[in-house]
Amino acid sequence: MNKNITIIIPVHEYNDYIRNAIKSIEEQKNNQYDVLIVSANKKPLIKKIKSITSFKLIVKDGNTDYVSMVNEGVLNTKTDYFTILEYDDILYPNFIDNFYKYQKEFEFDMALHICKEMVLIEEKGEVLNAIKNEFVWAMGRTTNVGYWDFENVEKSNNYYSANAIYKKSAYVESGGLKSNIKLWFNYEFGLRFLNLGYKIFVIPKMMSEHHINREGSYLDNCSKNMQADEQKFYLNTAKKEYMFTEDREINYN
Amino acid sequence: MMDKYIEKIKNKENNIFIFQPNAINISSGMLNYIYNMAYCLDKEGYNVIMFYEKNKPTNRGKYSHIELLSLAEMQVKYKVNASDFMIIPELYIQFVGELLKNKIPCEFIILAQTQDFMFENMEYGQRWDITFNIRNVIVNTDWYGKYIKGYFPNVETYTVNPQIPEYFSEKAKKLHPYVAIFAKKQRDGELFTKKFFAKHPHLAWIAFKAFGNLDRKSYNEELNECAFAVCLDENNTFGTFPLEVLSKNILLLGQSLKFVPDWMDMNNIDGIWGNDEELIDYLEKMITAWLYDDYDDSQHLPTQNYTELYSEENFIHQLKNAFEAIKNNRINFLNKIKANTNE
Repeated sequence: MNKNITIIIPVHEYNDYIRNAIKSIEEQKNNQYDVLIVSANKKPLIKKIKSITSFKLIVKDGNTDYVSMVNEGVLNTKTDYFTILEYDDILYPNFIDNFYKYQKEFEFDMALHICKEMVLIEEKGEVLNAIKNEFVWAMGRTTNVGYWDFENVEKSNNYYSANAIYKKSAYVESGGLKSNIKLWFNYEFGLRFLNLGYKIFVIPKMMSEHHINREGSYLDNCSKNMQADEQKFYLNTAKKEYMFTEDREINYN
Repeated sequence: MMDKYIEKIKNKENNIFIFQPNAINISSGMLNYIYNMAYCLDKEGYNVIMFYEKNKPTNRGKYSHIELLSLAEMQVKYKVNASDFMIIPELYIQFVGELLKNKIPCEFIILAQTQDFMFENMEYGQRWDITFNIRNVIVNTDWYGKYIKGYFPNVETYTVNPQIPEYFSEKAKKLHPYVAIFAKKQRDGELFTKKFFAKHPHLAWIAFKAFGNLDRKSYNEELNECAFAVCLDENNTFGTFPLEVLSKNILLLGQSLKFVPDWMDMNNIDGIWGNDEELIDYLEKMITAWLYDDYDDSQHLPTQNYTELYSEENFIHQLKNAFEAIKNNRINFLNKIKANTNE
């Protein structure tokens, strides 16, 4: 079997969580994957990453927001598929194995999976908040069982793409994630992707764990630094911008 | 006259009428067994005519070349005589009574597939051998034959095991979160599903699939998508559904059976069996293990090759033997009448 998937890890700052992320990659049952760490151009950060892993690392200058880092990684992948592993998340040992297994049998341009969403509660530590994406397999909930449909995503906002797997060609053709949309960028991408006729499939297996309120994470910063109406602005922007494949300038006024 | 009938039987010139029950009364596996019998007898050179009481069956697939008539049409077209055989499922025993009242002179053969139906339509005090003059019974398992003889010792029973077609040996991929469910009574299946979702709401998105009216090949394809199977029929006599599921390496969870089927090796039981409540919890554990890929298939692989054990060859072989014996019985009977009437 040839390696056909790259795991991209964008890292803009160091946190010990990254050790778990890397360990979860090393413990995959199937080792047919490449790894690409995209680091912000900060010497101490690069040094620290190199001290804990020998996975390939590239350095991103300029914008080091999440989307720009991801897109830099995509440009440097050589495989047909890639996935984005947030450095505070972990993949389950079956992640790569199930990607290959399901890719052989189902047609998709993007694959989500059943994902555990973990939340940090001070007294209890990390606890399960929800499992995500499972409902597309419930009979009658989507037009095509196992696949997202546009109406559902648009209506429910319930589009959950942590650690999604993308077909590189479809990602590039559709315009990829947009760095001008600071929040709801995954949602905007999902709407655009489906609107263009690409297929988003949910692999019905528990394949990763996602942390939602880690101190200092991108979304944590957004929720602390953005006003409620600013967050709502990005949601409305996502609902308008999905019709355009290019990353257009946003009028923030 | 008797010689003429005997000759007809010997030369396969007599007719074999097979009653086809209404599909809503019996399971598709049982119906398929009847069709298959008609198909194989036809292939063996017998004159087979299927007939129905109400609602003409449609979509008969590979069986469409076998003549199918309504009861009224059959009575007009054929004059049933003493050389003919008429095969009637046990659920329709009173139909035999009606035909006897009308002095239909053929040999009636009961086709017995489920112990549950044996007394379903019998009246108090009635017996197959005495009331309905039944001498020959075709059964789908040895134990059911013994069971019938326990009540009616004067009948002869012949075992013809159902066929598990070779295509069921194609292993299921088990990629979909689907549970195949077979319940004798639709209500039982619905109650099981409701209870499962109520007790394990985090799995309410798992689909339970019942395959009522599919032809066997489409049903096999649908089964390919299932990772688990639940069988709710404590009176199951042969167990076509469990064997099909096991042949596909799908994990079988079955309601404990009142009677042990011929194929079940008590020292090495295939599948997991228990009461409804136990099955609900087992299923949750198995699905969770499947979701995390923490489920070891090899622990639940069947110990026997059921498509080989219950092959088409086996079915034809047993059917031929049964009919040879039934024919000989009938010839002996006609010879006795001949002797008694000095014909």
